[in-house]
Amino acid sequence: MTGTTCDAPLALSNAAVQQLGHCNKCGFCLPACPTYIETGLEVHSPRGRLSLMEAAWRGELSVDQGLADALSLCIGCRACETACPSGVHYSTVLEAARTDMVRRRRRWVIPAPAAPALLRLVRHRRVFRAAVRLGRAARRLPLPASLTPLTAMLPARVDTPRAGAAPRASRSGPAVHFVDTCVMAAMFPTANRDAVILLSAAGAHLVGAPKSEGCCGALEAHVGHLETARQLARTQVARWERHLAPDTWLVAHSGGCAAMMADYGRLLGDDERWREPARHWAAQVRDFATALAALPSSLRFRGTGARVALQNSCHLVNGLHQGGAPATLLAGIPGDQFIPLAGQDRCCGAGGVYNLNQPAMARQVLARHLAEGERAAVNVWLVNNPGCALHLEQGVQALGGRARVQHLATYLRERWVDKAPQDFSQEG
Amino acid sequence: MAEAPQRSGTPAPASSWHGQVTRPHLADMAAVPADVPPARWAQLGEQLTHILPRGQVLADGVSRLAYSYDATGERRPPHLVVVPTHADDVGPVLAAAARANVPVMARGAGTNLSGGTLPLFGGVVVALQRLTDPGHVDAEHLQADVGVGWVNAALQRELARNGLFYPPDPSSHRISTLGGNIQENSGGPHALRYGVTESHVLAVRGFLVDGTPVQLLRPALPGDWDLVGVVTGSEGTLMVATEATVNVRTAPAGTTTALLAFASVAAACEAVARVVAARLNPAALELLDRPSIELVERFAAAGYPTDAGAVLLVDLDGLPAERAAALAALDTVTRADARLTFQTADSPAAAERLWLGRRAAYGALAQVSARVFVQDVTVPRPQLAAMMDDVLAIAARWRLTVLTVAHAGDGNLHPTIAYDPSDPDEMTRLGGADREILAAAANRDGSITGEHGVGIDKLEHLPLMYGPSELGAMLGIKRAFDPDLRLNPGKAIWTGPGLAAVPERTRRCGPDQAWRDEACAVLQQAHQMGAVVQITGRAIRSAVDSGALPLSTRTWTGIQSIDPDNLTATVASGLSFRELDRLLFPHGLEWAVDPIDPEETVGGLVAGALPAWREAGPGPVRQQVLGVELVDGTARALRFGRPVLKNVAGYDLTKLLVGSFGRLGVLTTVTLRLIPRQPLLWRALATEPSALAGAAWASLQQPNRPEAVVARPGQLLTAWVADPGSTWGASVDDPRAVLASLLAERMHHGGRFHRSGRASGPPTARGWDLWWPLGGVWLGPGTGLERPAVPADPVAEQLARRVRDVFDPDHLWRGGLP
Repeated sequence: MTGTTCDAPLALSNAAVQQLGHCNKCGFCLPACPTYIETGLEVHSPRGRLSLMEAAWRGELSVDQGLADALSLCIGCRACETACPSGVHYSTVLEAARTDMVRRRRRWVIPAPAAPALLRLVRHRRVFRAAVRLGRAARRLPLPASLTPLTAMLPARVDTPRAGAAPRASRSGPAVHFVDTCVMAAMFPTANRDAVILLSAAGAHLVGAPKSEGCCGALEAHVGHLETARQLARTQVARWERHLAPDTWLVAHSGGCAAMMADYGRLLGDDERWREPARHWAAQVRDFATALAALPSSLRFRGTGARVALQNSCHLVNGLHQGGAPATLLAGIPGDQFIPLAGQDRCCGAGGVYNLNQPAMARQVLARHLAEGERAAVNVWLVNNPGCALHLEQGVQALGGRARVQHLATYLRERWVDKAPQDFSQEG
Repeated sequence: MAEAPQRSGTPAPASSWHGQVTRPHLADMAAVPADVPPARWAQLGEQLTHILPRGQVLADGVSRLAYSYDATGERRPPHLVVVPTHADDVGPVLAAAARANVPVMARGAGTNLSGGTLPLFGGVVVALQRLTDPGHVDAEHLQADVGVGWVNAALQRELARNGLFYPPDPSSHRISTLGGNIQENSGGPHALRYGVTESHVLAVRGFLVDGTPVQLLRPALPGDWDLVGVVTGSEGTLMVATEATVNVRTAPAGTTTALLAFASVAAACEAVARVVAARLNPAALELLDRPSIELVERFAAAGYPTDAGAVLLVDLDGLPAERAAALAALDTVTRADARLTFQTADSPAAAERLWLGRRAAYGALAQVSARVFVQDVTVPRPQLAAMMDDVLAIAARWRLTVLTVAHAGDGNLHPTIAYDPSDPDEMTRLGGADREILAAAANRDGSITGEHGVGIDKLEHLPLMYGPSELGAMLGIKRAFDPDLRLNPGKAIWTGPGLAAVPERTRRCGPDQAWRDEACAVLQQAHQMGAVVQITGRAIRSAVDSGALPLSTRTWTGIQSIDPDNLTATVASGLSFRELDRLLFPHGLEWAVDPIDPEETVGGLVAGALPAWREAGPGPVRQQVLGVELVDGTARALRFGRPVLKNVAGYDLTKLLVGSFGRLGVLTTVTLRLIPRQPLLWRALATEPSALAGAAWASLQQPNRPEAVVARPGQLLTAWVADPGSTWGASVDDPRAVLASLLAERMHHGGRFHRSGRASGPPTARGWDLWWPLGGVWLGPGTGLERPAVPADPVAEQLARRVRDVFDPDHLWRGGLP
């Protein structure tokens, strides 16, 4: 493929152009945008970026490094979509613009050289997992500067699935297929296992083998590799079509992946063959906390006196619109103090591989959250997305590591009052 | 996509950009040559980088585009953008721009709906969003010092922590800045009860266009021009404000939100009229018509009934008992066959959801079209229904779809039309309908803009409200602040050479024409004699100077109109307060100004604007005056203001005349804001001098604050409260327990303060300068809290002299106590 020249106007999909037409520049998105909050600059606001993309599409603004810089500082958290009274689907425009910029074969959008390799890596489970272990070892070795930020992203603790109570088989509850998602499976298998145990205990009828499912395409879509993302989506939907009953819930403990999967209908909207299956698939996607809350048995938890804050996955909040369930769950746990922070639903700055590409802004965004947690004397940060987990872990460590970062499922599993099923005691 | 031209690497000139609206009249407005050589921009950019830290001067194409628009949709890129983080840096930036002789525009969040923050002629944009220092809330004195970059909603959150609030809440409050609110004189739903931004600005600090620092204070002393009142609402054309002191209020004890659905817009408007006439004084009273309801329901799901012709959204605030009574009254007065539903929000979350629908209206419109034309006309409140009919008829005639939301309680309508700028036929029809709607509002004695500002959208329509004399006076004020017309050129007021072509507005015949002739004759005589003219009303407080020609308003009496359903009256300036009060009595209304002597004239009270005892309640004199007619020192007959609560068409020069002490012109008629008559006020006395100030402030922090508090040695603390059964004082902490003793001595005083004579001792004509208001309490000598010395600001004084010269270049008015 030969890239189009730099001088041509930005090419956008029809869907993206349609979205541009719905922005009347009211500015309601500005206070929701993490990079606007940090910079106070219109260029780094959603309204600003939409204006830039529109001007570049109309040929009124050059497609150059300046535009690339402006667009690449966007984390892609989609908080602007939630704030928008006009329902502008900002991410459609951003993804289309990034796709065109990538097509031009410039290194504008992904400045970190290692990131593309990482994207390919996550699609291969075993290799990825080996790389994580290798990378942890490599952290102690002198490395080229370009790789250093990558190793810093690796999880601090070696995470091997611990032995837990075997999932109790349930035949009566809703059929649930737990999608283990690639980064979670490689880096946080324990959290995945905890999620499965809790879902099962709450009455889920677990179906399907959680192995080697490949990537959902979220990371790819994020950086403008839309075609690759579509291909990955087709693979996912095809597998589901073959193996699972239509009413099976697709549950993930990764807000970003869940939101991506719930977006397949739109992603494959122009694809005759896959449009309808993708829509069906998307409607079945549940985040772990939402699924847990909707299952027949409600589990009992008891806290240990911790001061707990939630860093909600931004795509869970703004893409999947299931951001309310984790906070509701946490508020109902006796013994711990759940502190709803003002920035709870605001992006932490991880943004897929954003923290590799824009480490300074990613750190700045996170610092605001951690400071808020510090003021509230938070000692447990809960996350529901692997990128957030890595990013927070790194940030907390940099601050001296007084707080713990935990996946929501692991936290709940630790506080689950086991072997005290309510239905049993009621019957007895 | 076909519109994207084949192009080279450099962007096309902005004039050829998509969606620009041609505005031929703007060509005249640029006082600064448009063809600044590119080298000068580069040079200026270079100079600015020496003034500001790295990264705060932006000259790249991306940044220029990002600061080229506001919420109106057109784009005019500036040449340079500066994004300072310190107010101190703004002055040197302005000075550098002055040396380069280029246009300058300051902006906040860029949510303007009239094009006020488009850098029409390029130049330097000073983006002030990052000036959030200071951010000091003084809960005790009910004031806040804020950097202009404070977002309105952020200030509200900060204040809420102290049990306070800042009433102006434009729909953009989630992102619009205090600086923008001040420059636009923003209103919002809750301006209805508590007043627009202008009522809440106490001081403005910043820079003139040449970089000179200036501080403007709300006049503490009569005879100072109210320059703060003029800068507020000047759309960034007079000065760059970087910091302000604003009044805040104690949060209401509670708020009840109700949603009323009606079969038709007419039925809803009728209900509004009845709510106003019943003096329910809601905190907000909003109307949405059927197309608006359908639109917001699709996006905000606020729970509005989509089968209704119109809904009213009503906020009632106060103590629970007050709210319950008001709610019952609201139910009663709006009960009619055409009322479909009456529901109240049962929780704060439910109320928030109802409000979300109203606030989302503008954004939701973008689903119809990215470009919407929002109008902002205000009419006297009883004419709301007729104005709505006008709007619908005009839209039908021009084959346009219009939807309307309205701050109905203020008579402020926002008819909104979606349009496509690339459709010339539609643009022509839009232009025609726009003009007719504005003319209809002006003909109903309303305003062509209530809160959005003139910007560029209404500039060419200003002659619907003003003749060349008024427009000339506004231009004079502009030149007093900005002689070269470099600050936000092409906005708010007419600066082009076409002024002479504007027809003089036809004036009413009648006695006021004779009064103008009389004033002109005296002026002419003075001019010939080289003498000065002194205006007198009843000459109660000052005798005519022997060297001056007298001009008495004593015979200028009469009432032009009382509009009890609009709560306004227009009266002759020579009318005595006693006579006015007598005429208002049958209507159950009063003018909330307390004269020392009831024989004083209304004109004298306005020109004198002596300390208003009830500042804590209805507010100072300037808030009781909606408009003036006058003859100035150049014998021009001028009319500013209208009998409407919101009016931001051009500069608010009514404010200058309030407290002008007869040194700018002689008032012939005055339009007054009226309030429901307080049957009697209760007076409370404190006996402990040492606790005076504390008790006074504590009383003002009660939700049901007294209307007046005067601290005075000897007589001690005196407070006037409307309702002796109210709970004020009941929850005061121990150090403030003095208030309890104050309440214990509460006594029925037998009526209003001014009717009971001067026994309790207001600051009289002599010695008033020893008194000063602090957070609504008037403090006199001996209270231990003397007025802090405010150093005279020579720049402000110079401005005051220039402003005087606009109205009286030959210094023919002697001025003095009326």
